[in-house]
Amino acid sequence: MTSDEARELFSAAHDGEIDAETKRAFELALAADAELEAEWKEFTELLREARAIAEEDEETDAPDLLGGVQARLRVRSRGRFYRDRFASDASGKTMLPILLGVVMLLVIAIAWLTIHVVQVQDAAGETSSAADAP
Amino acid sequence: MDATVEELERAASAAGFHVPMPEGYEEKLIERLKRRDEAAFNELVRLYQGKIFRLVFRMLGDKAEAEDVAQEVFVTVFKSIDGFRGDSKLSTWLYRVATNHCKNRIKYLNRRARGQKKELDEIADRDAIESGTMSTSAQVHRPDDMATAKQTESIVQRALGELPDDQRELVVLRDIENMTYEEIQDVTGLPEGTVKSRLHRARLALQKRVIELSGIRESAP
Repeated sequence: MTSDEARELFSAAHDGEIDAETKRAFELALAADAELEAEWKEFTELLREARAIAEEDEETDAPDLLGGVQARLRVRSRGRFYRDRFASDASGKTMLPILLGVVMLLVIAIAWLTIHVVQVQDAAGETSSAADAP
Repeated sequence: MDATVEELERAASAAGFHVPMPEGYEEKLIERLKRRDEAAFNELVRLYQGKIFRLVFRMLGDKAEAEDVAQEVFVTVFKSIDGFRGDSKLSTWLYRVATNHCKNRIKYLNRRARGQKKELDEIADRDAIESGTMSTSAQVHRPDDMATAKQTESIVQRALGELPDDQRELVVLRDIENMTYEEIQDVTGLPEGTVKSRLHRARLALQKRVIELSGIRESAP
């Protein structure tokens, strides 16, 4: 087996996917070429590092995605899903016209009462001045 | 039911690619998901969010992008669960959705980066013309985060990020996620021979780039 042929087998050899006979030839090729052997060591070391990264990753906490996913679904479904928060969010918007209506009614009521009181007072004033007249 | 979900979550954090589930649990979960049961969907997110986030992060190399894409993965799952026929495991399907999202995001980011580089080139050219001196190239200095990042991980991650998408996907699935060739075939839809040959090329390219980057690092002051 030439060095190039052996290099082509790096992945298969690492994954244990070569038969015993090929493995022997592969090992002989490595033994015969110091540069190739160094490359092979670097290759296996790199893949070991990659796996170590994954193991380290598993210990790292991933962010909690649930809230963000729910919010996206709520918006995109126009509140059809995960409606609970949508309802509470929307409550402010739906309450605003009602609140405005109540305030306007109050203003009208106060205005009406004020006018009515003034009219009653005027009428009472006119009655008392008529009675006082000689 | 809650206790079961918590147990599964604990198992999921310790397990590899597939979350181990009791007999019939996955089928019931899929059934509930197809009924758009929000509680079932919450369970699914809690069980797989760590794995999906980590996979996406390794593919994209950026935590903020990874969080955004991982959320989009679950939104897609919610919307298209009816299309899941059950030919493969739910986790395989999830990974397929995730890798497709990653590829799309990588394409988008590359397009954006090209656009930004073009803009920067134009600015550099304009400045050079205005100042009467033509620069040889638009030298855009990238922040060198290698000094602060963990040495080996940052080199491998950077080299990984420089691989073409199709090669990076295979290295992440096989060498980081530790999937079997069969699982990779399910996720990518590629035939076994293509997976093996492409993965081999990807590993050699990764090795070459790691050596180059390590050399740069060693020669740096």
